[in-house]
Amino acid sequence: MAFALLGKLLDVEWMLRRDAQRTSAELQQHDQSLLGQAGVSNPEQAFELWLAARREELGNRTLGLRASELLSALHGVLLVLALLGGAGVAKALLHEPSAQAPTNVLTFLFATLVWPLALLVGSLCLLALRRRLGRSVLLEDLYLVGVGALGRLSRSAPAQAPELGSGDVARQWRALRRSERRYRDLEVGTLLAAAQWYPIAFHVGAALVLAGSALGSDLAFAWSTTDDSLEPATLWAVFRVLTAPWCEVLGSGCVGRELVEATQFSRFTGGYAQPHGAAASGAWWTALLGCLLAYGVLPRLVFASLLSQLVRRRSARLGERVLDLRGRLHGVTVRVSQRHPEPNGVAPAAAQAPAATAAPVELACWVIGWRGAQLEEQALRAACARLGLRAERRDAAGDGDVEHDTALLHGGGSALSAVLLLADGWEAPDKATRRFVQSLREKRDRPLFVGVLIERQDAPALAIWQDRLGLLEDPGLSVEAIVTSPAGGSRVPA
Amino acid sequence: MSAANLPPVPTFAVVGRVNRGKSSIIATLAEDDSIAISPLPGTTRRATEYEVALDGEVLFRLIDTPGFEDAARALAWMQRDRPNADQRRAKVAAFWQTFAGSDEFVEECELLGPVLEGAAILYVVDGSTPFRENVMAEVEILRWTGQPRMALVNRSQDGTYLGAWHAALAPAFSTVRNFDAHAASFRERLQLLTLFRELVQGWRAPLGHAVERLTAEQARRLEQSARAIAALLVDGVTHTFELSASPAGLEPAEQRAAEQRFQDELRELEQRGRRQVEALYRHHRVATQAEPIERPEFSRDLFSERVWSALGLSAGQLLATYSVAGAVTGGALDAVIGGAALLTGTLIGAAVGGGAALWQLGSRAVGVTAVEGWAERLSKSRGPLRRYRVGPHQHPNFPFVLLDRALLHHEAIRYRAHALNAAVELSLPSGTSRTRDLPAGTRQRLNKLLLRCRKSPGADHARTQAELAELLEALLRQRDTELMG
Repeated sequence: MAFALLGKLLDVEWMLRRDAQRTSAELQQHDQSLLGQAGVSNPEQAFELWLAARREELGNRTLGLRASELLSALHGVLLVLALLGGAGVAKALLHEPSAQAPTNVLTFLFATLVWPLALLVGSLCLLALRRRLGRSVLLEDLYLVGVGALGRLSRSAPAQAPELGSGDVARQWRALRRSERRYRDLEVGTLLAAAQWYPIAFHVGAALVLAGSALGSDLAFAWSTTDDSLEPATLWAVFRVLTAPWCEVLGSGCVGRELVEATQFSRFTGGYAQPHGAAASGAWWTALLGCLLAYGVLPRLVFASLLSQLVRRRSARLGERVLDLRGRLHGVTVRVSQRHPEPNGVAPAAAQAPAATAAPVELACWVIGWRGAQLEEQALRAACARLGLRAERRDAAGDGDVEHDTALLHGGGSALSAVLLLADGWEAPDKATRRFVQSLREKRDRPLFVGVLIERQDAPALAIWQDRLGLLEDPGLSVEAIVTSPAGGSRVPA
Repeated sequence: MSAANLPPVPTFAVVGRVNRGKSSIIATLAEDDSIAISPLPGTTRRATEYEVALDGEVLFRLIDTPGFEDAARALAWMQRDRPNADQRRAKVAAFWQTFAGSDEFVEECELLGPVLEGAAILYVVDGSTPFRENVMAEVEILRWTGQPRMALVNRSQDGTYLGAWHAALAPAFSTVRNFDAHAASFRERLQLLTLFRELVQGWRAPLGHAVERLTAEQARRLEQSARAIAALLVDGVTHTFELSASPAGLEPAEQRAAEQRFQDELRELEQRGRRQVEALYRHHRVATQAEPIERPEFSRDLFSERVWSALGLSAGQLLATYSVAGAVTGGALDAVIGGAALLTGTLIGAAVGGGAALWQLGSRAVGVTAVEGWAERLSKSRGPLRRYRVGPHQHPNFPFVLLDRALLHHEAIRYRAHALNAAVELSLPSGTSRTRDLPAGTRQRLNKLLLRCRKSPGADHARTQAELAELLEALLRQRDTELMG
């Protein structure tokens, strides 16, 4: 359900804001504790589990959950009301107070089909205008009124959810909308997609009553005109086009010229134009049902589906926003991966965990200095120990000699159980780097640690490396910070 | 390179590894702060041309390019057939023809395209990081193109690695220069063009012309800035507005509201003046945290305000300035009577001037006066409302505070690199008054001109403003010489 997605995004954004007060080491530890026992194998799964765990910590009383629950409930109520509305309108038109008067097919179609279609056209226009006006002129305003009401409702129990701050959902949501334009786009898309289901329910309600009444009672249909303004031939031409899709394919639900001519009704004479009009008029119902389904339900379903796809695409782009989060989760994911049990339990370098928590068995490791990055022997041993590794062989790569790098990939330390690629944080993780990392992984499925040498734990370079190597979506790859201080060209742990 | 291969308008492709500050260098050289600069690597994805033009005349072009992403492999491709020295440019062109439009070597093709079309090369490296052997693949590819080229060592303020960079790049580039995109002065920018003028014979004339035009433009900006500041000062010291109130005078709440409005309008004036100066120097996106004119409370607390204590003239200087002004007036009277009063006029004038300064120092800054004359007041004595004029600002230091802030702002803008706008907010130097360092004679002249305006706020001050602009231009030029040598 789209509202669940809105709720998730709201919670992620909200939690990222709360996390901004904490150090990255604290965050790493916290994430590790949340996912440590989970056994996930990819960042998406890790993200879902992480969010579930964070919500659980807060007793599932988060802003996003509350918003999505309330919006879902509202959606359900509106759906039922729309269904009842459609049924009521159809019922009223089919069984007019005067049982003698047949139902005017044009009135029926206008009430149950044409004006909801006009609303569809209207919403499309609003969508187009939104580009020019910067926002939806009607829907969004109504929605904001709803959000305001939501805020008043949620204020009733702030004490039970201290994490919600003042408990004012509307205020926090508005703040997010102001700061993140993409939320607004996503919101409008979600709302429009949801809004399509109300007319669908309306049409379905009308169609159900029409079918039910046709089967369980005697319906009479007719059409009328004043001073012969509307020729039977014209009306027939219109209905022939309208009913063509199913008439041609199924052979039923057709409106013939005879039916149109026979069912013209006059209030002055109190009867049909032709004597057999009354008996023939019941044939209209299948055509009307076809119109409701083909021109009422179907376009809305298509529109709703297109909007849902749009929302999905928009929400996929939101990954940019949660890169920081994904970056954090990525490292955690690798460490809890079931495909590579060896590094399990290795404390993250970022968390500066003591060596005692390292894996009991150290993996023989191939250390490659990328583009001249290097660590002094002692510093390297300490870094390896933290990662549960034992440096067995050291090589250099990325110095511009492609043949040398290729030979290294084919020979080198290919027999060793893990690889530690040392890279300077200030180097950009460009395509050449990503290609080399990929090649290392393709040659043999073994854990690959990219040790980014940085001078501060919170250096932005680490996030860039995590982000860019995260594009490889490789669960066997882990980006680790190795905090160093420059000392005469070599690097020593701080 | 033969002149036939050169584009008529000098064109420079700024190339280098990802995230080495290429876009920053373009922003500074082209004086264009709209160029996307990001700490994230790979922000520039397509080669983008920026024209440096004055009055519609394109002086030269700069092309921002994506960074090298896999230079070593690209060079390996070019080296496959071991081409001779005279075949190398053709090999680079063959590389471009093979991979342009494909998914491979996207960035390399994008950056080599303009170079193969004749652009000279500005190769950017990051001087704050150590030299590493792998950059030589990029250097070699650029050398193979045979285009005129210069290496710029960006972020060169930390000199630790500069020696290694210069030693490594010198054999492949005609010139290797330190050029910090965030700190480069106008003169350094001109020097770069001058160097290229010497380097590429075919562009000697257009680049020489560009240097002349840019130098003249910089002088014009100084003159225009002086005019803008003069206009701000005149507008500031003559600013008033009128309002209606009861004949008994303004109620305290009305007075507070009027003073508030007056201060707001002055702030707006100052902001407008600043935007004018920024536009002159093509700084359109400069952000500042510095507060506009401090809102003084209309009480003695006004003088404890940080800005007012740090900027403008000191109390002693103000006293001296006003005393001298009074003494000159008194001296004129003495002269008229042939010195018979034994300079009593001069002494009294100095005392009155000093006293007035002292009185005004402690007075309310904003004067509220009834606009109508006595006759009008009598004729309207039964009317429900009277007109009052709020302003001009009475404090003797106000014009000097305003001038000080304008001078500091101009200084911050004139010498600011455009690349900084994306990274650092504009900060105005605080606590460093420029007016306090002015010679007494200049202060006197400024004071005279400003007093003339303040005395008759409704009059036409075009001539005074022009005089003021002339004086300010001299001051700005002098400061320019002090700073730039």
